[in-house]
Amino acid sequence: MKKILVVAAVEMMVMALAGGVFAAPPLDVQVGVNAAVTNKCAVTSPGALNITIDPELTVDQPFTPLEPVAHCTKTKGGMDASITAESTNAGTTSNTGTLVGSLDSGAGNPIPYTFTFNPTVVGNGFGAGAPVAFGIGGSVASGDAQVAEYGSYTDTVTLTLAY
Amino acid sequence: MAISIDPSATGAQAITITTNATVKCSNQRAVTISAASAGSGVSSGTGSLTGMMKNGGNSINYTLNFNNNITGQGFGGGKDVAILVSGSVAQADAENAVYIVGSYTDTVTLTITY
Repeated sequence: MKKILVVAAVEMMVMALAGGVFAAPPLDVQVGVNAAVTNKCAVTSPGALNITIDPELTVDQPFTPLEPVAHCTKTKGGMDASITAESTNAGTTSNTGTLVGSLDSGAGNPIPYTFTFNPTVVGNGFGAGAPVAFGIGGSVASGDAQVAEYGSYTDTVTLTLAY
Repeated sequence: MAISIDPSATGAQAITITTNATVKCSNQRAVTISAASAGSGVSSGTGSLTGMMKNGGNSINYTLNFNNNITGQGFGGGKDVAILVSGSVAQADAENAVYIVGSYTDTVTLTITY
């Protein structure tokens, strides 16, 4: 008779412990999630300016611009990237939006020209449809065009973005 | 959890789980877990949460994957069960993320019911 009573008591203790687990309240744990965004610009394709100079014309002759495709990180408050342009042949540098360059054929008689660009750009983020606007253009003054010698001329302008 | 977002990168960018949240429960005890993002105001018990990291008026969406149903392994050494699985920022959200001086933050509350 005593042995039967002991077994019954043990079973009741186990059930009581199990009941305590079921009644436990939920636990909350907090996890922090942090991010920093890299500020950058990237040029994904270069551009070129082309012009066929007609010495007979009496007006300034514009280049046909092809904009570089570039993207920059969006910035709080529209913080800008600044652009500096440098002409290889002329050795001139400008951050004002207007650069005087020099087209060279390698045989002397270079042709001066004016290169225009946006001195600052605003990042629109990356992805389709959000390139920055370089606003590239340029022209050869009529006086320089009229005295230009026949031939093929080139110059390289390096655009440097600071951001 | 932390991430350095490169807006020029292609594809989703993974959030690094620096220290995982873990739980110990009685052996074979079924445990359910839900998560809530303070930034987005979204709660989820499905194992996938849409969160939002903020800094002032700027924000970045992200996805957090977690174990929403686990089984307790008991107590003692090596019995911890990891809760967080992965996190990521989608390419479209990274591309348009606004650069700021400082960081974006969110707090996720994991609720463990057993």
